[in-house]
Amino acid sequence: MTKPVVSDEMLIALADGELAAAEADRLHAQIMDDPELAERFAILAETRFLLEAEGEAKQEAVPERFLSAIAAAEARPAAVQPKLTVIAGGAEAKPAGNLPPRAPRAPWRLPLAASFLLVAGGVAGYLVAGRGGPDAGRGIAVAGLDRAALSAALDTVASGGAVALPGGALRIIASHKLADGRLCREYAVSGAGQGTSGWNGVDCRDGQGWRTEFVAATQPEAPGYKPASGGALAEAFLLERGAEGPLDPAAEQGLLKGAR
Amino acid sequence: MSETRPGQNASGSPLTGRAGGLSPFAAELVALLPRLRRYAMTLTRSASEADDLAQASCERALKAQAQWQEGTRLDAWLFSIARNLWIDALRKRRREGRSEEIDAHLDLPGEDGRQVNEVALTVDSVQQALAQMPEDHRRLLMLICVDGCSYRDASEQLAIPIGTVMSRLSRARQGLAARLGMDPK
Repeated sequence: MTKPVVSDEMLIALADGELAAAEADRLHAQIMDDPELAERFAILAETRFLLEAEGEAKQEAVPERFLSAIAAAEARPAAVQPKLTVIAGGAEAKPAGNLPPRAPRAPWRLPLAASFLLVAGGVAGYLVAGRGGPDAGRGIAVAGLDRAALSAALDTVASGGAVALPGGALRIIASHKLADGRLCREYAVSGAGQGTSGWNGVDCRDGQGWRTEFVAATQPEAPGYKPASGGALAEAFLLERGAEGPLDPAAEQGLLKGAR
Repeated sequence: MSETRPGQNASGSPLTGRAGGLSPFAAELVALLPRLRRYAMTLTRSASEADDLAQASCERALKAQAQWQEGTRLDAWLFSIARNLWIDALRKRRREGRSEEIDAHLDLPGEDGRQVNEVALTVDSVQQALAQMPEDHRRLLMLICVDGCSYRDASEQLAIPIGTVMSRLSRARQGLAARLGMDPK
């Protein structure tokens, strides 16, 4: 059977999101069945993403201290290394209405936090906060926070409570119990000053103490740009680990007091 | 992934090119992720496949880091890795008649003798290519690809029919790809 000829114009229109859904699906199916056509399509699509950099705003930059958290984690390999994966549904956690206006046809724009997780997973989960030995990790600064101070707060502060720690204000959002029985606490750290970035985190506790298992940068509100919240991504992370929802205060207190 | 210790790439070097942070290479990868993932979504039209492709591309880039030429555009290199992984997966799926997951562990350099042979563009190559193009092509490319205009918006701004937008854009993108040496294998 002779393959229908596909023009470059059509391939570019598909790459640019200019085709109606049915037509786009039909053409994409044809592309998937023809590697040569697929290569033409990919190259023409790629030109768009290369050109984007010519006018790219810096709003998606990763805060320096956020990267420092990775380095701190990476410097001390954890005894157990749970794999961080891309959180399914993370990109969908917020409606498309929150996407940057300069990419109106890009509902798949990955929020910064999910992007970060993507690479964290790809690099073997080095985002997992380090706790290499009996005394290692207790004093590690996680994203600018003192590990010991953070752990102490996680042990004692009820959900809804907030404490000021060196490096930022900590607010405990909720406690969760994972499918494997571990207690996890979801929290937010606000930046040192107004307009600075903060981050959302989830720490989980096992027999050896607290370990940061999820962090997502949150960005200061900027006109026209509202990335998906770290909170939504943290919830997706917890759901993926089998959490069934925030614990009520009594259950939380019971677990906090147990096995400390 | 499981064979790699946290914070280390396949070559065993820790991701600590500077004190207290990611290596510059890894940090640049992080910065490129939003664009990489949108490119992968354009190719796959599936969020989960796009995630797989973007992740596989990053893994491969980290493992083939030594082959990236300093001073060239990392985004172009990374995109071409993604493109080649995607097309390899399509070819394999056709050959084997079944769905094949994209996996950066396939075709790793050194594992099967293949080397990563991806696009190397100098930092100013896109600017130079644009400068060589006709003004109407350059203007249209910037409107569509940089400013994110729809074809209809571009048609109105430039006072030309949409059909002309499409044909001119096609020639401009082909011209850019050719100037950048992005020819099909």
